Amino acid sequence: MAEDSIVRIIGIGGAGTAVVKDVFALFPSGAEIAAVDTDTRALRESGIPKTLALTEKDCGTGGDITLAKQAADAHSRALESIAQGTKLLVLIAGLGGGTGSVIAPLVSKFAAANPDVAVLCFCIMPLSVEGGQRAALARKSFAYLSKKCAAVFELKNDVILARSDAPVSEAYAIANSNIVKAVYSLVKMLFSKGIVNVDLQTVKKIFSDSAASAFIGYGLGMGKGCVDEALEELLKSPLLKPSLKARNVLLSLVCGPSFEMNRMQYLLESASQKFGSPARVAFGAIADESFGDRIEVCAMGISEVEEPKAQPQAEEPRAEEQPSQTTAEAAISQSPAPQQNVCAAVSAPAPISSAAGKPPVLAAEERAHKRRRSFFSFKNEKDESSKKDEHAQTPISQGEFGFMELSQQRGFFGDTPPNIRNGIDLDVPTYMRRGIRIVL
Amino acid sequence: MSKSKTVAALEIGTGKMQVFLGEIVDGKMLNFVGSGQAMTAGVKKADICDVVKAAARAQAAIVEAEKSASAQIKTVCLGISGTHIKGFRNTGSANVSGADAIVRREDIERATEDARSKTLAEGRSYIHRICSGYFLDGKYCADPVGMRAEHIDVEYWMLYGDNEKISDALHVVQSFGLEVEHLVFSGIASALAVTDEKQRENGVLVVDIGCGTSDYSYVKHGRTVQAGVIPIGGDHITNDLSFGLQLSRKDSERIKIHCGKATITEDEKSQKFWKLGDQQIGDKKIPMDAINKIVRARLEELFLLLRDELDEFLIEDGIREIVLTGGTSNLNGICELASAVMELPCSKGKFASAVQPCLRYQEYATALGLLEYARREEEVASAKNTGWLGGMFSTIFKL
Repeated sequence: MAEDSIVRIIGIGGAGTAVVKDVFALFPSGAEIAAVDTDTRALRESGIPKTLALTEKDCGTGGDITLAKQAADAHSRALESIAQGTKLLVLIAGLGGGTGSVIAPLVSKFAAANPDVAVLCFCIMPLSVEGGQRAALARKSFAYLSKKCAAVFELKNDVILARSDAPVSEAYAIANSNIVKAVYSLVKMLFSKGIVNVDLQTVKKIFSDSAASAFIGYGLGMGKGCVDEALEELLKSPLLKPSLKARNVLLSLVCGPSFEMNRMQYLLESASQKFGSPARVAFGAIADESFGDRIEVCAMGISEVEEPKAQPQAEEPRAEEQPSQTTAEAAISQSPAPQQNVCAAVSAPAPISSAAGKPPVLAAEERAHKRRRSFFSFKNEKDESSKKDEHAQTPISQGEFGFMELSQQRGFFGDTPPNIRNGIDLDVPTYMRRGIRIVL
Repeated sequence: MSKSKTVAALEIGTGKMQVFLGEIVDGKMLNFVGSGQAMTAGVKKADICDVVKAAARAQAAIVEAEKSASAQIKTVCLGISGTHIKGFRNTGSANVSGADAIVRREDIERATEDARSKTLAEGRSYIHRICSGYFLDGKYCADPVGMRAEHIDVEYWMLYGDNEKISDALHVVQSFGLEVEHLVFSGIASALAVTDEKQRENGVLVVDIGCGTSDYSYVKHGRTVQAGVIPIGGDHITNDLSFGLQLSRKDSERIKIHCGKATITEDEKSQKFWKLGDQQIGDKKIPMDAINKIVRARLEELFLLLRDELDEFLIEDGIREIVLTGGTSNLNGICELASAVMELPCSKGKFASAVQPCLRYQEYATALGLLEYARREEEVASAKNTGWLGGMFSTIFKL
């Protein structure tokens, strides 16, 4: 990237590019927005001016991580440069496919090398019907990202799309809106001249503990009861646990200019109470004339880890499983100087890492020494081999998002006794109990 | 000289507190004299969960009604509902004592005593013990006195509720110094408001679909045969829409009122509505098909539960028609859906011509019915006072 930016939002792969496209459509200025993909046509059609095409083909990797790795090898410098020259890096990637699963961990690894960069990652997890292989790959990438990023938001398409039989493009667009809303709120808080501003340092502090699980929620309210309404919607978000005990919360409010101080105070008090009196609450408020009596509240943060759960192994996905590993390794070691088909946004490749120009024989030695190799264990990976072993031995304590059981889906009857008839709680929506799919 | 009495009808609803003031003249004429309304607080699913809040809102509605009528309320006819209200049928029997096998008043009293004497479990109290019919040697008889039979059965519908909940409802009124003269199940009151004598004679099921619950009352031969509560109301539809369409409660309520339909045509399926209308972030298009699926599922469930409860009366000589009332009955296509599920003709409540046009709203059915209930009670009391014959009449035919 040519100049240092405060916030950089990068969409990686097909899903990431689609989300970033929506983000870009909302606020073309402010944060630096770019997309990285192996599919050049998707990048062209996204309309995002800053893109990095990892191949020259008009198609993606088709879920082949070897292809993704080869593409990453060819553009490792450009990818490294993405992780530099910024203070807050927001990665958005769909995991389970080739590009997202390989490139996002790689960029996060580059970013982790620089302690000044905080990385937030929004991971769109594949549907379970997409197959166990995709799910396993997604879990591995997610586990890796959890180690490298300040906060990793897991967005399970299984849950977000569960109630939709909309056309695929439409359903995915709705699911993407969760990320768009969160990113929109974050960037607005940092860039807009607000009533109460939030600085980057505060955001970093909120996400200072990568061991905790991250959450996001979004609520909207109108009229006199807008505060309660927005909080109600926020807490109903499918990405929040029903009884969330937050450790740190970043609350952002966008409201009309006439929004009263006492209501703002009420919002803060209620939110704090509803999130279980978190240790740290950061609050940003922006007045927007177009909002009238409408308010938008976005909550992001990390929650207390309630109970240890069996975690997938945190090590990077194993390369030896890939039949084309040797070719890939060769590609790494034989790759000449980084290619320059990088977009305008990624114009100035960062200095070459110390391991960039090592001969093939070294790569072979590395392989012999390493207990495990990943499909994105690139040139400078060996420098971190000892660290990686430590990581492999340390169980990750990051929790997973929990989702409401059917019996808990009682909405505003939640504080009333169950309405049992013939063994069924009638307060739970009928369409849910009957399994009726709602197309939005 | 005519004798008049001002009566206040109070409905503690989940959505609103409604007060109607009526002047009863000689127990016969009922004049509407004022009204008051307040948004409800502290009531969920028709159960009072915060007495203080509920009492404050009820008081606001009563004060407004008093102002509008320039009258002071002393006693209240209180409508009660809630998920705690349940009922059962109980039959009392007696052998006809006379050697001539002619049914006398004493025989009926013994059978009645037998039917009414069933004790409830601790913590429960009767709200109504309603005589739903007499049977002489197993055959229905509207007026058994003087008829020839060996055995008389009297059926009672016993409607009861939790002491605590009933006490809360009474406390709402008593907390500001008023007395509850009549405690009436809302479903029974609504049936009085939206049906005529002929319908009640032929057999009509009145379902008052309110915010929190649906109160039903099946009336045949002019008597309430069965009444009860299905714990599903308009709030459930709103809640379902809120989940299904991922909207706030307020938006769901608006969508329900303006776009909600229980039955739709093929053409309507493709219609879409904007959630907020400003088409900015957060706004989205909502398809009518999705709204309908959610609303229909909930209402279908309501009518299926009703069908289960009243299964024994869904026969040729049972329920002849269904009348829907209450705020949620304003939903488009609800009668068609009820008719399809229950396989009976269904219509919305119709008010008597004497009811002022400005009061002919389904939401007011309970409050209007409470006034009519009070009038009938007053009429019975007046009859009692006018002579021994009147007294006997009212004892037997008291609702």
